Amino acid sequence: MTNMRKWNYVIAIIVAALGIGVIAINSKFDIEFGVGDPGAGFWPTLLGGLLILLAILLAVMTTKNKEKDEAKTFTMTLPQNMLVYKFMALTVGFCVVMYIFGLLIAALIFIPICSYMLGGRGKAVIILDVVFVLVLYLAFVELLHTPLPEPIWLR
Amino acid sequence: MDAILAAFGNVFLSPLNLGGLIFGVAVGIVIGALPGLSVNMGIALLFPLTFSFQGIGGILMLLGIYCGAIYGGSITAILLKTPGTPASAATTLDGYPMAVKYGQPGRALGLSTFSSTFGGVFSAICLVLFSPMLASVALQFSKPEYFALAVFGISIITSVSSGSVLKGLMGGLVGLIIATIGIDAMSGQMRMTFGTTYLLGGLSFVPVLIGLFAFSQVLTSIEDSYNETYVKHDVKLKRVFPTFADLKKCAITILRSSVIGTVIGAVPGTGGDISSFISYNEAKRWSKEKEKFGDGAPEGICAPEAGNNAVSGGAMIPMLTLGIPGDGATAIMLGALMVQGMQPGPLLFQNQAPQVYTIFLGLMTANLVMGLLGFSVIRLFVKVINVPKKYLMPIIFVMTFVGAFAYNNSITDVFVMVAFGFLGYFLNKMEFSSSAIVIGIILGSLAEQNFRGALMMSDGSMMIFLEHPICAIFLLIALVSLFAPILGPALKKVFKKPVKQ
Amino acid sequence: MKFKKAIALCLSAALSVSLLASCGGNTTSSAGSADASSAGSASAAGSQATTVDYPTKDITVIIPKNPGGGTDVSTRGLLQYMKNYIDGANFVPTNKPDGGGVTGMVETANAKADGYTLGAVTVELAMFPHQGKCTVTYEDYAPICAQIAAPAALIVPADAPYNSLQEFVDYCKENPGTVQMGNSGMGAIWHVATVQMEKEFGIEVKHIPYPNGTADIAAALTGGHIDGTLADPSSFVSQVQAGTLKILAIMADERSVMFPDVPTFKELGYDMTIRSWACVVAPKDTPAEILQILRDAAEKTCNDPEYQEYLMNQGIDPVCIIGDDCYQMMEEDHAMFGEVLAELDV
Repeated sequence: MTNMRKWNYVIAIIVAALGIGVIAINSKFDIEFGVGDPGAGFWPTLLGGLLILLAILLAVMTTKNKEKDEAKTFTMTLPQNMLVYKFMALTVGFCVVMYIFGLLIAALIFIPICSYMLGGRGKAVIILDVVFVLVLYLAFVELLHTPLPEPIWLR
Repeated sequence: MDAILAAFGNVFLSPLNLGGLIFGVAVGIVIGALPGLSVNMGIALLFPLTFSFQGIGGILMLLGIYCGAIYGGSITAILLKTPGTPASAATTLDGYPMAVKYGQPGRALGLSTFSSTFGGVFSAICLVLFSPMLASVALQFSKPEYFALAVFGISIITSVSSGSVLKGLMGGLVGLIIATIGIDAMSGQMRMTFGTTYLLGGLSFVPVLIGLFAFSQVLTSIEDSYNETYVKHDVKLKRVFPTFADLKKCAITILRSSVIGTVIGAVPGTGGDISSFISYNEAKRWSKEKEKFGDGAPEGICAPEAGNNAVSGGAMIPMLTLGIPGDGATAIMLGALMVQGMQPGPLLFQNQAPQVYTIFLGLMTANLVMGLLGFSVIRLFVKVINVPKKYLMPIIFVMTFVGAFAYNNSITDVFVMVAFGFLGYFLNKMEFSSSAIVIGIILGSLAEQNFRGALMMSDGSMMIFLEHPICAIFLLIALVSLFAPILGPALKKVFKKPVKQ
Repeated sequence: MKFKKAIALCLSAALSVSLLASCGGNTTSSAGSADASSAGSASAAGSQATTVDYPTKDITVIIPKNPGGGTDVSTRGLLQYMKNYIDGANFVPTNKPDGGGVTGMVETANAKADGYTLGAVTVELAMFPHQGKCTVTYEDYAPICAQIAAPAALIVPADAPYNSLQEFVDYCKENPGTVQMGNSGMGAIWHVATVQMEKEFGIEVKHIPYPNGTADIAAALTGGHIDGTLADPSSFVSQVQAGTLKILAIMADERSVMFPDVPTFKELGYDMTIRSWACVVAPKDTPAEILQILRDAAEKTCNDPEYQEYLMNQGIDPVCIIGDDCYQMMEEDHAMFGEVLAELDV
């Protein structure tokens, strides 16, 4: 279990860094007032500045409201979170397989794996898998002519 | 009079036309429900079909798709917390809690269907009765007014941030920054593109939406499902139509949201996404039970749904009276009308009255058909929440990829979707609000481009925002709504003291 | 154990589905092409002896813009009518609007040059390379035909105090920097056209961008928020016909069929032609025979009165620029924009 207080500081730092980054990237555009368009850099710089302001505010408020934030807890490392992180890794794998083999094959392979991770077993999963991919193929490729990602050898 | 009779004939006596209309509504609902398939895409795909339809039949089908798609998004928004269209993003805020947390999916879907139908029919009536008047109001909108509307919309961020207002504002700012990526249309420069071609067009909005809402919801559901025992909800519905009590409570909200939607629809360049959030915000502002919003308040469902469907009639107003489309979908419809030989614009009502009345009648019928179809499938759809996660999650997982790719046929969009999905999962844990980010992205270009454009018109003078009355009023209301949450309690403290004694 | 067997079954099913999917495009039309090719060669024999069996499967056309926009509608319309002139042809338009349209154009240029992947390119192809936004140029394509080449038209409100190009120019000279001209984005084509006009006549106007397209410019003009615009007239047709707006002059080679009373800049003595075009193109190395089939079909389509009526209903002037003429147009515009944009520094 971790509490919000620690993470609030982390968030404040990340957001402030983001704000500084935005201002830095957009510093190459001139800003001038009084003659019409203030320039391409005006709006992003304003937003970056506001981000930094809010980050500072967040850090200040967190320091003030000790108990309130410590009371808010959430989980990051419990088994259920581990399941999610495994799933994220699975997603990355899916992206790779999809890029190489196309969406339909990737779906065919990954749906049983996903289901297995969530407790699905047995024939029902396989039937669901094949039927679903078939429906996808018929609906999107044949009927609607909306292309799905294709295997790398077809591109 | 003959024109009206001809219109009735066109819509009801021709089985092909009526069939096409109903088909269009059904297809529209499906397209709207699936994230990534947009209204524009659906209308453009079926555009060639209108060639084969005789005369006005194709237009009626397109009207059906248009209305159906706006409503369809609410189904997935309520049942799966994933908006099928950007205009239904606000519906997730109260629709999903009511459906899943409180176990009342039928009530949520019933309210949504009723509000959508009411909003659509209301705007269709406005189209018939008030077109010229609303069109002239719409023409008053110039850059300062659009900017004020955007600012007004951005001030909503504070009200949709149910967690921490501060973090909501941060999310909104991030959304606004995301909107600046790409070619800056006001100066021609490339901003934050990091030299890549993909970012030249900016981050595509719909993949970001799918990632933040749908994909992150998949991850959150997986976390919740760990060691969870399967609970079968009782979803045998006695009735699908909302109860009288619910309707009485939401009546004013629905009416107000319908007006908002019609007016925003009539303003060219603004659409259902903006009007749904503004309607939600107004409903919350005027409600006596503000705390319930974000936790299954019925008004929280009725407001955005009435607001987004009311845009359908509203957007047709400038399209028919001025030949200027009110939103993206009506732009395509304008083309379709022209293919049929109709010339939308000031001369339309004089020269082609029967066709115009057919469109009026068609729009109203489409909305009613949408309501009928919606109510009839509610009993079927509520069964979705009983599908075990081990079967449902993999399907939704794949569908997010399909949707993200289908939007622009871009593999990079899919990777963007995944990235925002991961981000959204953590953001939800830490009290950030995805809706705030989405509002920022939607309104970012509207705000910035019109701010700078207005300054270009005034040669740099900020007075232009005060000189335009509509703009000044909007800005004032936005300021008030931004500071009211802070000033309100403060003022109450001041006034309470004397009463106590 | 049972489950693992099932996964093995899955993988073999996966392989078969993928084979199905890749052949799917062929199988559906190969049945038809057996009939079509005999009929096709019979009719083609009338125009010329074709030695190549084309098309035998779906032809993908990459449109680098959003569905419903001017480029999309005109391209889809052209393909719809072209189908009647090539037996067995099934065009599948695909929208790829990301990257500002650049991604789609690049993909067309890099596609296999077998005639089964075509694309649309817009006038931005002639502009973006000079702005560092695009790596491909007109040289990477073999054009088939231009379905739209909309000229810039000088459009003003009907009650404006000027009724001709000359009066407008005089008014601008008397009021430098106050006349507000709408365009579709700084550095985009209509802005460039307005700047060219400023240079040619020695006037100075205020440029007001409306990035979401010419429909917004039409709304602003009708509402009286700006004083004029140089843009393609298709979004303004209904207002012009109703009399709320008027067109003073048009930057085309000949008078517009839809607005025959409007003089061209050329007639008035100023050689200015700026058009926003979109062309259907094939990758550069596509076989000449396939190109010929497509170009012939396109030419017949452009002369088809139904197609011309379709275009005019949309407010687009029908044009017939095929093959080499199209290439020349792209080449000229590329050179012209190179000069103009270098001076403009956008």
